[in-house]
Amino acid sequence: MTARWLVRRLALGVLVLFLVSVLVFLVTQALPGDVARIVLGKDATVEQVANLRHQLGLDQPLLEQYGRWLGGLLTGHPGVSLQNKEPVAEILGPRIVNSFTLGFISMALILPLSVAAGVLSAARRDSFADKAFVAVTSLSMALPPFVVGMLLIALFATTMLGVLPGVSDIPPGDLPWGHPAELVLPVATLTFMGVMYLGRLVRASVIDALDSEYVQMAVLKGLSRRRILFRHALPNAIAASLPAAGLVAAVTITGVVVVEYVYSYPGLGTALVSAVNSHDLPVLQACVLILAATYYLCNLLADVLAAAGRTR
Amino acid sequence: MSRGPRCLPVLLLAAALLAGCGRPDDADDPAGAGTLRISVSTDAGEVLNPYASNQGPIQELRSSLVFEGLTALGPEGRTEWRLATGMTPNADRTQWTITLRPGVKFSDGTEFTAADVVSSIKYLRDPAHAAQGLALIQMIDPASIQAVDKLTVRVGLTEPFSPFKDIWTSVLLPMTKTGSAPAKPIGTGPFAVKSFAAGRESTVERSDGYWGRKPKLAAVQLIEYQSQQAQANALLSGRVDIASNTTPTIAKSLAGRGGIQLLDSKGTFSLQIGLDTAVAPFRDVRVRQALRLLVDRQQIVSNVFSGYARIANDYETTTPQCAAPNLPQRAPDIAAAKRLLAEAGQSDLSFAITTDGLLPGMSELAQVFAQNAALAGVKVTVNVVPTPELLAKWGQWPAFVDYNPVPYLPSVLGGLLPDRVGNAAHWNDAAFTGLAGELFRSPEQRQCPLMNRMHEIEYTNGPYIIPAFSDVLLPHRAAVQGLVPDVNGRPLSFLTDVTVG
Amino acid sequence: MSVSVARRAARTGRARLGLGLLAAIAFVVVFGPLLAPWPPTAIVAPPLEGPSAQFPLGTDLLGRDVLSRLLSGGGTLTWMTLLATGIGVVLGALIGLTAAYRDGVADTVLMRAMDVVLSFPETIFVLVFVAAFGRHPLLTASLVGVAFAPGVSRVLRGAALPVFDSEYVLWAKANGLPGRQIVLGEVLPGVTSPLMVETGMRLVWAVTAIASLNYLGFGITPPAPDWGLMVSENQDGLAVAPLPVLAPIALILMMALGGNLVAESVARTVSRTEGKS
Repeated sequence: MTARWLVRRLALGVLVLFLVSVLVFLVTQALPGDVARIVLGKDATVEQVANLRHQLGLDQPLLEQYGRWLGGLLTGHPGVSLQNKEPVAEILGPRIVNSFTLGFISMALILPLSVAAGVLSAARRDSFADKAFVAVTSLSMALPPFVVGMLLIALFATTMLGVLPGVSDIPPGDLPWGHPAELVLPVATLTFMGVMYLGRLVRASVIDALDSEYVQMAVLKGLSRRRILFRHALPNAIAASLPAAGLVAAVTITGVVVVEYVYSYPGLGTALVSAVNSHDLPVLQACVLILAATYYLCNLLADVLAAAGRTR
Repeated sequence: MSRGPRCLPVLLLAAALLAGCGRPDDADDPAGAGTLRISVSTDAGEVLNPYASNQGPIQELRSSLVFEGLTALGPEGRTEWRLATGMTPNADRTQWTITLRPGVKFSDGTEFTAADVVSSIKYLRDPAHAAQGLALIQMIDPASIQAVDKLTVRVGLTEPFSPFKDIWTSVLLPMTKTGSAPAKPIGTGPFAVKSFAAGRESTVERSDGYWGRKPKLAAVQLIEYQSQQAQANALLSGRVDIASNTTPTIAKSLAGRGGIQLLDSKGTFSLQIGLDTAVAPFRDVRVRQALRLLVDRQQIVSNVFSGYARIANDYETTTPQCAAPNLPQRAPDIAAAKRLLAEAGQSDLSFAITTDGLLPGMSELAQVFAQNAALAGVKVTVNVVPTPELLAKWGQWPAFVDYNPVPYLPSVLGGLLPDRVGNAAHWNDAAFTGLAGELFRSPEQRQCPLMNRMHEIEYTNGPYIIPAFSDVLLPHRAAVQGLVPDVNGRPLSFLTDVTVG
Repeated sequence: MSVSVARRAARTGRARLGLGLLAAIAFVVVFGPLLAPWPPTAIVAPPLEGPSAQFPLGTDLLGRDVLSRLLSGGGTLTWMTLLATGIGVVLGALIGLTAAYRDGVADTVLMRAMDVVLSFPETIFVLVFVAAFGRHPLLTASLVGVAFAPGVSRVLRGAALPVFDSEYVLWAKANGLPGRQIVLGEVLPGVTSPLMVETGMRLVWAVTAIASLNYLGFGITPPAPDWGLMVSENQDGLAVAPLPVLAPIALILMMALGGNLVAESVARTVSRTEGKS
């Protein structure tokens, strides 16, 4: 756990991102259908398509196309959308704010809620409440996210209660935290999925810690139950759950894609889906790279924290 | 530490706290009065240019509010004068003189004149711009478009063309201020663009200098959603007043809930199955006829469109001023179909129908047809591909699902004449093409019988299975008043008398 | 060891419930198609009819019998899940063990390559490839498997490293035994427990992932009956006819929950066994 180790991990991260971008670039080359044809539609003539291909630089060798894109990215110009010619930065800027707001609020709820639920459940192991928690988590881990979204919308927005908006489109130019009602359901979905997974892991780690010889010793010494739980079991359990928390952060970002789609939330996920559909390579590349970088950093952060915990 | 785990209650509490922060805008916001909010399907590639090459429904909707053509279609489908007040041909209908409406202003306050018409037509006619409406005006000679005076334009054609004024009703052929397209197009319509975020939302507001009857609405907001389901949810939660295009099933499940009403535009919109007439086995007209005899049209109306449709007879829509051709309605006849297939040597026919499922009912139509065909031992599979792939191989699919939202004349010009891009079935029928030529040379009063003879050829030889004309359904909040159903399936182009309470 | 673990795991109440659920699902998958009263693609009534004697669960969006489609629709999900899990576990184990065996450059290269795949969110990974190569259930299942491989490989590499340091393996290496023999004969049996836990968890994840992909339209294409596809086909009518949506969800849930309970019991038994050994 030295600065050198961190630098090496960061450098590897850059390498990973580079390879991801190459992979995305190569895969998009295999996408059926000529981008120029997709932009112009079926009514355009062959010459018009050829003209546009030339304008977009699609008639150049692959290596050159990729080199030009990479050069642009390194100088801070990730290109323009092939579809409507707007700069990628302008399209994605507000969406990054939206997606990250969603992700951060969810993580801010997932971490304390998971620890609370996990510790409480473990502290009263095999009680009815604990069994109920275990049963609910098992059940929810078997639920595909689209089902959770669909049911929450039907329950709170459209069919049963009607207390929350069933769509979460944030008007362009507005910041997401100006629309708290719209954030509730997407955040609740992500938080629910996260707590069900992480809370269960925390519970298992606390139980492991409580079973350890060290804690058994403390019990024999007559330390109070509360003291044992908070001074000894909890820190160990949190340290053990940290890598999983990194995974949950990463999964939350991934989950953003499905959740954004279900709630029509204008973030990176929805942009990504439509970029795939329209073969808009610059937008697609930018979305994938942002998501991949966040994912990598979350995992790295978890490793750093875990290592820090160990050295302490 | 005596309490048990409270994970779910805690979660709900957090949700309630967040929700308690207040519900902004929505139904009860007084500032929203006079603003009509319409949900539409997301189109990330949309631009403001009405001459762009690949326009989706949202772009056409916005164009119809912001721009006007020389003529327009009324809600009953008849051609009405708009920016022009008259068009007169020379003797052989190869030259048309257009008289323009005086006193019309663009939304920026400048005057609309003949020069703007000339520049607009020239822009449209230039193949380099790849305008989507180009196919409709290919008969115009680009060298002979000229302004005679401030309110008169003369347009020369390369061949006679008599239904000239009907062409200009297309939303793809609007007039814009000289030099404003494609970057910042300015129109003469009742609304002008106030804000625009591609793929997300746009707002148009009432244009105060509008020449005609001004709309009662102060503004119209178009909000984009990625799925039909999301549009329905937006309507149910009061986020929008109208869901612009919806599936029959959603319409059925929405109607009556929370006071939601349904505007049902019965008209000429059709989903059709195209058969490539240039390749075997569909080259053989007997195969096409046999397949048409297999379709259970009643079942398609009831099971694909939940009853929001009426059966069609394999020819394109008729025009409102003409009586329908007197042709017997095709009904399922398995025995006759089998006989035709045996004659064509295709008794064990099997093929795939390709569709991108872009519009509600497309994949369902193919699935029901597959079941119908199975009754005669014809094996049909449904091939669902992404939209880009469908477009990329456009014209190469042997059997495909297509849709036709336009009246008869543009259907002929765009898709039924040989060598048109829209003619993905490669249909080339000499008799039909001859009649179309005659139609273009004939005066208005002789057009109905000609069109009916053309319909007859479509009915016997045509490349399309046209099982039904489906309704365009518009669920809306009860507070929206004054909507008119439109026979051409674009009821949202008629917002003049619409109010939102 | 693995047999006894499985036996001990099967004795817990939770595992019994899980096995029961899985057995019920297996019965539906295997015998369902024979029991279906109607052909699964036949149009037999008006759309979205309520339950009746003729159609016990009503009809779907196109007027097909929901019960018949349910009974015939589990096969695809099952084989896609098994294939995805198989590919994920075999590929992951292969890479993880190879990386552990050949420490140094090969290890770094392999594990960084896994990082590349790992930093692709799974849904996006499949989305991009399916857009490129077309929708096919075989492709979708394989992609999910490939997306699982990095996770499996990390776990197995971690589990295998201590085994490689064991005296026997060091001895075998020193005596020039072929690498394949060492890995398969000595190391693989040593990592059976984590392998079983991983397999169980991936099975559960594969069910939800593949059901989601079929729901999004990236797997099987209509009119074939499939539980995930049924949900998306009929969700437009959820308010009028909930059964065509809720019934397949219930079956997907049973399948995933059954797998989950069994996997958890195995994991629990393994950790107890190892804790005591």
